[in-house]
Amino acid sequence: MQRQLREIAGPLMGLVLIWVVILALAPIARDWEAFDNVLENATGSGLFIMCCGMTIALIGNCLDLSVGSIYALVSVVVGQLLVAHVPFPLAIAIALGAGAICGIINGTIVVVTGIPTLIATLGTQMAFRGVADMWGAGVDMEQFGKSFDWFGTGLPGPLFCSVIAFGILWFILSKTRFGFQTYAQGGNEEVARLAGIPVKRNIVLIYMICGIMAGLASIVYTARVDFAYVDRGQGMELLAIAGVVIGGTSMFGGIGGVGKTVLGVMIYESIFAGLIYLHYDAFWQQVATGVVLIVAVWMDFYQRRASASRRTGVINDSKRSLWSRLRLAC
Amino acid sequence: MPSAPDSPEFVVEMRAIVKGFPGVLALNRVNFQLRPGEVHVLLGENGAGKSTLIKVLSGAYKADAGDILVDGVRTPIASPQDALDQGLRFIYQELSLAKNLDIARNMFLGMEPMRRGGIVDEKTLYARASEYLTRFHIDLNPAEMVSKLSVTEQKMVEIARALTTRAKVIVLDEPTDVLEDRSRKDLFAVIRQLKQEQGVAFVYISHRYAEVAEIGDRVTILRDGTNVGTYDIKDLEFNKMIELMIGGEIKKQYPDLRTPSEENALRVDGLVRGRILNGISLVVKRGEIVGVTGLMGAGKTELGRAIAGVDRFDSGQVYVQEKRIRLHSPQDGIREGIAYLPEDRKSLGLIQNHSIRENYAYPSLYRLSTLGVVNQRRLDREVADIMARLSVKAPDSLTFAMQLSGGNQQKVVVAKWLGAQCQVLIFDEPTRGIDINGKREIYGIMEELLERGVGILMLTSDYTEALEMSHRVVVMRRGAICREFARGEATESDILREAIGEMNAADHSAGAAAAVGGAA
Repeated sequence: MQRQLREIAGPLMGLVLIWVVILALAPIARDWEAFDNVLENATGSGLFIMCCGMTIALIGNCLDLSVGSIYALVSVVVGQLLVAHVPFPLAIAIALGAGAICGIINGTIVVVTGIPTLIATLGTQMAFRGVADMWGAGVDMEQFGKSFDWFGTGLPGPLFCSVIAFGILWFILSKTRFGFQTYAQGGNEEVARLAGIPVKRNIVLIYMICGIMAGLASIVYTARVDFAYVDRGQGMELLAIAGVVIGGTSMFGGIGGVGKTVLGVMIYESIFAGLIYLHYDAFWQQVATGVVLIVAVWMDFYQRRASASRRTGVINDSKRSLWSRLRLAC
Repeated sequence: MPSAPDSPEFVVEMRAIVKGFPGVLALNRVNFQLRPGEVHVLLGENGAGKSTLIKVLSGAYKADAGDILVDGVRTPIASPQDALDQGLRFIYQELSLAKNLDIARNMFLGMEPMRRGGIVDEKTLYARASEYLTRFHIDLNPAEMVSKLSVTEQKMVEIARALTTRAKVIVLDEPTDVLEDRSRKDLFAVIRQLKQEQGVAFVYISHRYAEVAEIGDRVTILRDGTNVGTYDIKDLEFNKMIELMIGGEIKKQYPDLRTPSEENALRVDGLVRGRILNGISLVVKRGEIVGVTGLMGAGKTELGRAIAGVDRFDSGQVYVQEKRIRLHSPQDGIREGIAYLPEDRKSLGLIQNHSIRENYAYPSLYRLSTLGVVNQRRLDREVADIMARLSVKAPDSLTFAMQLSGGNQQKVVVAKWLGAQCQVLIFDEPTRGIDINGKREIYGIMEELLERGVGILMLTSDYTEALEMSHRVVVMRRGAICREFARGEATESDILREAIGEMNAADHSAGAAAAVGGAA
């Protein structure tokens, strides 16, 4: 317990610090509404749900850059089905299935060709978006009806979906054999293989889960805005990676968890909210995303090096983890 | 007693070096004196302070107290650059050459002879490189790419590189751990030549006690961060040396092995894999250790990996307890009861930034889970049991693998595979890089395994270990089994002769006999 607390101490303090700054500089934010906004943004856009999928992907060392395109594709699929008066539970199921198929395609490409995940999913990123365009460009897909829209409206629907996504991923990662195996193969694929873990099958499964989560994220947002659109989710994969990595899940596999991702997404959305409360233009958001992504990965890198130097016993202040330095500075 | 700088008695002298880390005093007023032109062996168990001492000398660590004298002059060494400037060279266990460059480029990396305008003078570069190589009888072409060299040859190039910069002192950290027997002789020849012709002093760190007598002039023994004595090697008996090192009477190193059962644990029939394994057949009984030995590249590791399903093979059959098994992946191996414990603990044995608990769980996940959910309470119980049984030294089961010493890491590797409850264990170099106490503990665990009816295939390049720790020794040469010895039937030189092949054994057996003499 203490150890887990120590692990998330850095991100937690970062979050507190951000809010101290916001509340100090923007008195207008001093009510629950500001916090509510953050929660609504994180859940309503589906970003948090997508981040849950990205968490297992990064832990299993299966980087997925195609989630933004899956988000667009699933939006088109669910839109088309609802416009054709397919009952909404069935439409949702089929749409999630589409996300799963996209993930399986990703995983199969990685396993069969053995090319780097970065390249494989960059390729499918283009391909999936092309398919979305093919099916959805120029088609009107809107006004889906109240029962479907519940999933996206206000806080309850999106929060419900987010909690479900979190719950599933938390259970998989911390309780199941497959979860243990995911950590193992993300930590060191060859050690995992020698331990009799079906590494290849798991890669396909991991991508599938990531694809389903991207699909669920898309359904929530499509319900929220009440229309489907092909150009959605451009660059969203980077937001998802940033959210996960800020929370403390490693870009290099084997370390992390969805609990951390909750913190990461909160930090990320809080920075955005702060920019708005402090009256920065919207385009600053984009700059902030880029900066946050780089800083988050840098910190992950830093931490790795720090633990490597702990192993060799070289005690060197410049290599100490950034978080621990921040902690000292505070 | 300061001596004149022009005729110093010691090329390097370290006086009363103190270095502490949080919670441990790694070096406690250690004195160390290195004479010009000597090979000075630094001996000690893991954690005795050998590498800390060397790191202080190299400038990687700053000592808390104490002085370093170079050529009799007090010289503070605050960074690796200072050490280089003083003519001190360090050759670590891991190779540090740029593989994509050729030998000459590597030797003069960063100090290439230049023509005007910053262009490398290739002619001089290759001429000087080959001059150095011939001078030390290193028979290599300076234009050869480093990636094509064997490990020994790369070590040689590293030494040659150290010499291009007028080294006074060369520190070799366990240089022969990666070398096979024959290559060691080449390395020793170069060392002897250098100390005689150039007056270079060597600090030589090694775990192999037999080597100490072979190459060393003097020895300094460290124990728990203190210098327990510096001796002329010819005055020091082998047993005395070990006693000093472990700080007590030597306990018996190898256990007595009991007679194995008649049942076969493992039977391999005509295993073929390309040109690497040419029709290997062998049997391991339940409760038996079969040692497989041979030179590097003879196919030991490849044999172990094939039997465990790690690598595919072309033809041949594997039987576990006389049941034929199909092997497509390590998963199949484990299901059928064969585990392979790799030699390279760091990158293949354990996931370094995962805990003992997690590492233990990985091969046993199927056994430990119901309907895909891991029974974590049972896992915790098993981990606690096995850590106590194998006396793994760690604060708790959540300790990361990388925080453990080599011996404890190996225990966790063994623990992990005990958890998988396999009938056949294939140990690849079970005690490489482990100190004498750690070795004894590993042997003890192996003995315990035998009593439970497990069959062990031990792949080792340590001939003593092969002879002392197995019921039968199988010698491999170029992918085939060339000879089998029963326990007590062979000596190290017999094994060496078989491993090399009769043709060129003559010039090596003498050296091996000397090594055996040192060890006896």
